[in-house]
Amino acid sequence: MQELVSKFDHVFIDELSRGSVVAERFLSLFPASKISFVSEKPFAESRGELSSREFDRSKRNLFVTPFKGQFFKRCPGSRPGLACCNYFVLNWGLQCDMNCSYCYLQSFINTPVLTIYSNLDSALIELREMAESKTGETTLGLQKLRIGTGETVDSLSLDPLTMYSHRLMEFFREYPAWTLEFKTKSAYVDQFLNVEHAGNVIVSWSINPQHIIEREEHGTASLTQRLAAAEKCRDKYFQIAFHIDPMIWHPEWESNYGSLVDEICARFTPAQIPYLSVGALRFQAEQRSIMRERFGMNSYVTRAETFPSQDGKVRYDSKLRQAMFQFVMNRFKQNSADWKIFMCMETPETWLQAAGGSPFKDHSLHELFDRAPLTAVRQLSSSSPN
Amino acid sequence: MIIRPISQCSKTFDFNPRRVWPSAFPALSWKGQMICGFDRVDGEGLDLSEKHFVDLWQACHPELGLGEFSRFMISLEREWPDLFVEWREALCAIYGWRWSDRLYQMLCVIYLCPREFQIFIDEKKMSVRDLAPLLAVEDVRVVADLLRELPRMMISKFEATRALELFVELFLMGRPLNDLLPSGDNGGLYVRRLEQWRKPNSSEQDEEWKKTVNAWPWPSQVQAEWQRFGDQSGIEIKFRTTSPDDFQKKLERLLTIPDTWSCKN
Repeated sequence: MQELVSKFDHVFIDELSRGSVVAERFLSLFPASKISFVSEKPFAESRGELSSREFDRSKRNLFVTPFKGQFFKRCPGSRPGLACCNYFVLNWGLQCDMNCSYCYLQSFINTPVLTIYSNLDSALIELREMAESKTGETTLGLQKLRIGTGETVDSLSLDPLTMYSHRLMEFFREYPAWTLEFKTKSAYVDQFLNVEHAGNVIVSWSINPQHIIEREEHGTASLTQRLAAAEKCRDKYFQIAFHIDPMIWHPEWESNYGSLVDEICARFTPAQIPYLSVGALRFQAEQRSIMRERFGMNSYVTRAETFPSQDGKVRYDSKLRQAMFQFVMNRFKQNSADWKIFMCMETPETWLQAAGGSPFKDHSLHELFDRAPLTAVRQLSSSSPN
Repeated sequence: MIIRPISQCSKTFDFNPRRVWPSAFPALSWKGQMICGFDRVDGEGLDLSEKHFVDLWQACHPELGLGEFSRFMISLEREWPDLFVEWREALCAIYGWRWSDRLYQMLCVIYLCPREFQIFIDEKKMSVRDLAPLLAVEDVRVVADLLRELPRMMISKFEATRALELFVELFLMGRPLNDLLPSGDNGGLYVRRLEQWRKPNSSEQDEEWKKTVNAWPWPSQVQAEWQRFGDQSGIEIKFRTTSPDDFQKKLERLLTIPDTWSCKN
C-alpha cells in the first residue's frame, strides 16, 4: 500500500465528494499533508491538449470527484469496419498511474489529474435500471453482457486504494448472466480474493513478453507477477483472460511471443481461460507527437514502421499483423485446439487472413460475438426518452 | 491625443513583422513601447496608452504567423511578465489559437529556430501540429542546419511537414545530421529518401515487390504496379480495351497472374 500511496504527489478531493466512501478511505490512507479539499478542478490553467509535462504531472495527482455523465458505454472498438466483440465499459475514473509508451490515453485525455469518480453508487443505479428494463420479451439483466472497467483507467492498479472491486462484485452477484471484467497490468488481486462472487467475474491481464514490459510498459507489474496474480484468481474460481495486446514488433518477436504463449500454456489450461485476445500496436496518428516527446525514439513503439489504416489509426503493415496473429494463434493451437482466441479491433480482412474466417461464424467465439445483447441495448437506448 | 517622439519610445516588441507598416499611417506606441512602425527611427508617433493593449495590437497586427507571434510573445514575457500572463489568452484568440502549455512550449521552440525558418513557417502557414516534431528535440538549435536548408528547397507545405517529422525522428534514432541534410533542392525526392530510411523494412519489401510485379507477364496495354495503400499493399491494374473480344482476351491473360502471385507468396 505504501508503494501505491507514495506514487502520488497530492490528492485533491472535491468538496462535492466529501463524506463519500472513497474520500474517507483516501483520508485514512494518505498523510494529511498530501490531501486538500477543493471546490474547483485542480490545475485549472491546464486546458486543451496537454503538454507532455502536464500529462506526466497528471499521473501523480489524484482528484476525487463525482462523475456527472453516463457511466455505461459501448467499447470504442465498436466502429464501422471493425469486427468487434460485445463489450461494454463502465468508467469509474480517468487516467492511469502506470505509464505505457503506447497508451491511447495520451491522445484522449485533456484533464490534468488522475480522476477517480466518487459516485460509484450512481453507476450501479444506472446499471440496475438497465438490467431491469425490458427489451422485447426479456429483461436486459438476463441477456449475456460483458462489462469491463478498464477502458479509461486500469481496473485494478488503484483498487487497493478505492476497493471498488468489492462493490462491483457484490452488484454483479445479482446479475449472474452479466459478466464483469477487470482488465489490468497490475498484480493487485489480494484485496478481493476472498469476496464472494457469482462466477461471473473475469480478471484479465494485458500481457506482453517481459522484454516488452521492461521497454514499453513502465510502472506495470512484471510478467511473472501478472501470471502469479492470475493463478491466485484461478485458484479462487475467478475466470481468467489474457489479452496479448498490443503485440509489438521487435527483432526477437517470434522467440519472445512464442515463449509467452508457452508460459501461458504451461500454467493454465484452455478450460481455465474462457478466451484470449490478440491485437497489434495501433494508435491515433495525433498521438505520435506526445509519445515521441515522452519516450523519445528508443521505444519500439515510436520507432515502429506504421501506416494509416482505414479506421484512422496507424498500424503495422497488414501482412505483418497477419503474420504476428497467425504465429500466436498457431502456437496456442499447437498446444491445444481448445484455446479460444479472438483478435481485438481488427478488420474482417485480417480475420480472414489470420484466422481463416469471420469471428461471427466461429462457434467457439459465439458468445463473444453474439449480436443479440447489443441489439437489445440499442433497442433500449433508442426507446429511452433521453 | 498624445504625440510622442519615436526616439523616446522603446522597441522591445519589434518582432520584425513580414508586413511593413504603411507609411501613410503614424507609428503607434503604448506606455512608451512602440507597437508598430518599428522600422522608423525619427519623427513622431501617436501614444495610445488609454486604449486596451490587446485591442490595439489586434488592430495593428490582425494576421500573424507562428514565427512572428513567437518573437512577440517571448519579448512580451521578458518585458512585462505579469501582463503576459494576463493577456496571453486574449492575444492567442486574435489568431485563432488557444493558449495552452503546449502552445507555450511550441512558441519557445520556434523562437530558438533560425530566422529564415521562422519566416518560412509563416509563409507556408504551418500549424503547431505541423511543427510538433520539434518539441521532441531537447535543444532545437542542434538541428538548425536542416531548418536553414528547408526554406532553400522547392518544397510544398505538405512535404515540408513530412520532411520535418522524418528528419527529427531519424535524428533522434541516431542517424548523423550530415547524412540527413538534403543534397539537392527537390523536396519530393528528399521526403522519399527520408521515408526509405525511416521505414527500411517496408520500403525494401515494397521495392522488391515492385520489381517482381513488373517482371510478370502482363498483357499488352495493361499497366500494373505494386502500390502501397496505407497499411495495405497490392497491385493496381489499369488497362485499355477496344472490343468485347479484346476485353475477354485480356481478362483471360490476367487470370493467369494469381498463379504467379501465389508462387511468390
